[in-house]
Amino acid sequence: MTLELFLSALRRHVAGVEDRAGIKALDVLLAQARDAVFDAGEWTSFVQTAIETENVAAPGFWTAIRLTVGKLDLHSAQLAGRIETALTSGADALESFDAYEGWRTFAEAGGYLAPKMVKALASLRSERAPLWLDLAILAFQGDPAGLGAVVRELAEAGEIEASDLRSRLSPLQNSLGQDHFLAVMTGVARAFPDRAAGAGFGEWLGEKMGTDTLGRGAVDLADALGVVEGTFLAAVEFAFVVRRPKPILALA
Amino acid sequence: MTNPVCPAQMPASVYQKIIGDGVGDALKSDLLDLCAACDAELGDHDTSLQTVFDAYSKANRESGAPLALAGDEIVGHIKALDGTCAHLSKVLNLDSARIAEMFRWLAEDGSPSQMDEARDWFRDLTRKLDHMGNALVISGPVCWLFREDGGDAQALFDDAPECLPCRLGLPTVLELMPPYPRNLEFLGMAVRGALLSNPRSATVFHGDYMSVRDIWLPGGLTQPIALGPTHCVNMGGVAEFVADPPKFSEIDANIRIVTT
Repeated sequence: MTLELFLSALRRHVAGVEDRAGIKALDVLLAQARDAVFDAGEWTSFVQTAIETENVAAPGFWTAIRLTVGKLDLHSAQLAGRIETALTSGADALESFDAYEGWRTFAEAGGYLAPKMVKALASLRSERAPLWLDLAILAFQGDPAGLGAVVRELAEAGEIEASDLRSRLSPLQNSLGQDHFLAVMTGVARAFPDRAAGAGFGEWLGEKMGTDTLGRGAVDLADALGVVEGTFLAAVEFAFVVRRPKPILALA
Repeated sequence: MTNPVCPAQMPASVYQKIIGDGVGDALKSDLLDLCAACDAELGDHDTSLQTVFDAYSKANRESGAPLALAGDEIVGHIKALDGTCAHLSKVLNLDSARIAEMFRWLAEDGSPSQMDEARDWFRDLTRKLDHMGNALVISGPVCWLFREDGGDAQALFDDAPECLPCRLGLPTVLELMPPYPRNLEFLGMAVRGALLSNPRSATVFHGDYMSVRDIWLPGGLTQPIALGPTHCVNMGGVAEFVADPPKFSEIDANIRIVTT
């Protein structure tokens, strides 16, 4: 395996050269590498060279790099650092989908994707909010309240649709956890500006989870009780979280 | 009618495939005339045989004799899993790894709740429209499909499925072989013949120059990749034809993952 061979396959990938089943030269090279004993250090240096010498703003470049990093499981702080530098120095030239792929590659190469970094990706959020949410789900791992606020905000602003949440059901369940998922989703269902769409989402999820909390009835009840917009989430959280019996020692 | 002469840069084997194909004589003559002016066989410059052939083929992809399929015949299609997920990711604004995960769940790899989730997602996928307002389709403008003698091509997903890509002449990236790549994943899909639009015989104009040169044979039977696993090569080729690409809503939700 040589650098030239990798760069040639990478360029063909970016140019969209593929066979009639959609297989590209890079797919073949990576399959061959995985089937043999490959040198991860050598491949990491190939990827770093590509990032330094090729046009990182070319559509498809980051998808090809992500494929390479993912298939060969390349992890290194140095590689992640190069990726971050390339993404931040040429951010304006990147199409939003390529920016998404780039940041995803950064995370998969071992980079720490902080909420602050994701919040700074304003173009990605305005052009492809559902993908921005995918990055947020990664970045807010361990912070279900933060993620819940972000999802609600996106729904409230009409930046995502119910189908965007349906297609992310288990990633959201995993990130929000058993303690927060239902509470957050109840708030989100109510946050959609299109009330009918929100109620439909609530009903779908309620049926899926086997609870009435998310259904149309629950949303109407909240209205009837006069629960104000900002406190609804807190009210649901109270219902699900605060009512747990407290340890005797804690009470004392 | 006398056959046109073989262009200087064209290997005799390619010339014979063109002459032996069932497309009209006028198309063959036009192509061979254009190729006569070429100064090299391969390359991406304007005067290479490869460039001229590919451009002419692209303009004549509607060629091929209409094909009559039995109403209950089921035909198959395979497509690169990674490439398909990357493409759909851009269209659906959903991470490609998540899409791959749900295709895997649909391929009976998931738990009951995962299967349920994946089916919901697939239902949403069949209702999505692209930016032009068209339903999403499973391939580019020319869709290659395979058939099986018994009328149900799904049998090929069950009988040595690891051999199916090789038998279909895939991947056609021969310059990087040997070795034949193992663990390449394809999405396997089945569709009822009655739902197909414009099914027709595959001609010399439906592949690119390299695939015609190295893989394709006139007559509709694709030859296996000779560098593939011996037991796969020994199984022989598979009958193929082309059609307009089916919509995702038209394929069987029983998706397969085929791995070389």
